Amino acid sequence: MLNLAKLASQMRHAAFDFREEASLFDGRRALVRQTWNGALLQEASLVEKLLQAKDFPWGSARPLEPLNHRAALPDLAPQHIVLATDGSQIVPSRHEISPCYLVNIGRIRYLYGTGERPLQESEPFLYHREQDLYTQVRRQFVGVSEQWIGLERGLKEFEELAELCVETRRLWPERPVLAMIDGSLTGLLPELMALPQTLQMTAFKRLAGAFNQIRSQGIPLCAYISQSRRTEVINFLRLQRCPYERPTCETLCTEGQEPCSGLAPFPDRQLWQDILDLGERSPLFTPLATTPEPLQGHELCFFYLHCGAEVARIEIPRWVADRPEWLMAVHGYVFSQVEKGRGYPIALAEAHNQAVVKSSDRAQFYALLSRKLADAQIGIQVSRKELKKRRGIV
Amino acid sequence: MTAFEHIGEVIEASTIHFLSQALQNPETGERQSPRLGRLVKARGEENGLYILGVVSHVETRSMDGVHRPVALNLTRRELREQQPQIFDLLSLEFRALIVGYWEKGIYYQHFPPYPPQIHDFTFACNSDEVIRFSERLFCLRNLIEAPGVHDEVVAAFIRQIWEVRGRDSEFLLKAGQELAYLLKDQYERLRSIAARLQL
Repeated sequence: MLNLAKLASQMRHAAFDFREEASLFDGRRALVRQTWNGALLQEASLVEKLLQAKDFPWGSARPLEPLNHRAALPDLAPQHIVLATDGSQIVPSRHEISPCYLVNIGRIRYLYGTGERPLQESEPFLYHREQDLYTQVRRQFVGVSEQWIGLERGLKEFEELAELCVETRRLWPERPVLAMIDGSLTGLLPELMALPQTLQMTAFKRLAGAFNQIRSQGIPLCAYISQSRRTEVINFLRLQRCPYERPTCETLCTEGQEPCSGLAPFPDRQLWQDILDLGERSPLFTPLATTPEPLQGHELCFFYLHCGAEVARIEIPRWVADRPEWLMAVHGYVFSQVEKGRGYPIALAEAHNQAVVKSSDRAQFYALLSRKLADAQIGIQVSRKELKKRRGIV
Repeated sequence: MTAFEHIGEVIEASTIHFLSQALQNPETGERQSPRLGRLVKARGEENGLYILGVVSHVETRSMDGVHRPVALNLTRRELREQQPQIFDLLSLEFRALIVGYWEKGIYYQHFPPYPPQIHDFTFACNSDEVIRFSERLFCLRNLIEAPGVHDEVVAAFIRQIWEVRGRDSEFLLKAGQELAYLLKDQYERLRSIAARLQL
C-alpha cells in the first residue's frame, strides 16, 4: 500500500526543485539559441571539426542538409495507405501456472481517400517451448529475461510490419504507402548488443530481414518519437562553443567544466520548437555512431517535425532519406496522421490499442491456459506466493 | 420461412427479450439500425426455432472505454475517406422484446420454450412473415406488459404492420379493439398509444 501522507511532503520538495530547474532551463534555452545562430554562420567548419574531433564523448549527429533548411509541408495525394504495428507482452511468471510468455502485436492498415475498409487487428504469439523460455549462455540454461522478451516483441513488431507491407503491396501495387512504428528505429540495439554472439547474429538477421523486406516493397519506413529526449543536435552545437581548433575533450577539458557544458541538458526538440513553424521539418541529420555491420544500408537518419501539439522526432533509414519523394511522403503523411489523431499519429495510437493487454486480459489468459492444461491432463500449480498475493488473511 | 441475410447477432438473451449487435456493412464498416417497432427474428440453428421480437430500443456508442466519440466536423463521406477506422470502433445494439416464435410452419404468439442463444443470427422479418404473424394480435399483451416498454414501441409496431399490410384499415380497427380490451382500466395509456397511431 502506498502511504500518501508520507509521500506528500516529499512531493512538496520535488515541486520546489522542478521550479528551480525550470528557471535554469530558460537561461539554457537562450544560450542554445544564441549558439545556434552562431553555428549557422560557420556550418562547414563545424562539420569538419566534428569529423576531426577525437574521443568526442557526446553522441552527436552530422547534418545532411544545410542547417538553415526548413522544408514546408508538402502537398500530397489524399489517396494513400498507412501501415503501423505496435506490441505488448505478458511476461512469464514462475509463480503462475506455467512458464510461458505472450507477445501481442497490433496491426493497422488505414486506406485514405477511398472509403475502403481498414484493417485493425491483433495477432498473439505464445512462446512455450523450452528454447523459447531458456537461452543457453556459456553452457548454462538461463531463463529468459524481460529484456529478452522486450527484444522479441520489438523484432516481431518489425517483422509483422514487413509482412503487412508485402500483403498491402500485393493488393494495392500503385498506391503510396507509409509504414510506421512507434519509438526509435534503433531502440532494439542496446538489447541486441547485450546478447551472446550466436543469438545476436540471429536477431540482427531478423531485424535486417524486416528492413530489407519493407524496402523491397518500395514502401518508406519511419519511426515516430514523441517527447524525444535525444540531444545529438545540441551536442553538435557544443563544437560552436568549443574554443579549441581540434577538440580532444579527454585531455583538454576537465569533466563538468567544459566551455560547452552550458548547453546541457537540453533536448533537441526544444530547439526545433523555437525554430520551426507548424508543418515544417528540420534538416536531416545522421548520427555519428557507427551502424552495426548487419544493418549496413539501413543507417539511421532523423529530422524533427512540428506537428502542432509537439515537435516530434522522425527516424528513417538512409534509403528513405535518399529518395526525395519518400522523404516528402514521410513528412506529409506523418503530419496528417498527427492531425487525424489529434496530437499523435492515429495509426500508432490504434496499433497500441489493438496490442495492449489489459489486466483483465492477463487474468483470462492464465484462466484459459489453465483450462487447456487441465484438458490435456497436465497438473497445474500456482505458487504459494501468488496465492497469498490473491487472498490475504486477517 | 425463408432465411434472409442477417442484420445482427445475439449477444444477450433471456425469456423476455434479446439484444443483438448490428452487423457491419462489409464495404463501409458502418452498422445500420433496424427501425423501431420492426419485427425481427433470431434463428436457432439447432432447435429449428425462429424467435420473434419487436425492436424496442436501439443504442449506438463507442465499442470500448478507450475511445470517446468527439465532434469531428466532417461529413459522412469525409469521415469514410479521412477517418476510416472509426466505423469499426462504434457499436450499434438493438433490443427486441419477444412476442412469439415460429416452429415447423406455425406461428405462436407466446413465449418460446427457450430463449435465443448467444451468437444466433438476427434477421429482419419480410412482408410475408409480418402479415402471417399479425393474423392474430395476442402478442400485444406481452408487449404492453413488458417492463419499461414505451408506448412509442407499441404504436410503432402497429404502424409497421399496417404499412406492410398495404395500409389495411380493417387491421387497424382490430388492433384498436385489442388495445381497448387490454387497456380497459388504463384510459390514459390507451389514449397515449392511440395518439401515436395518427397515420
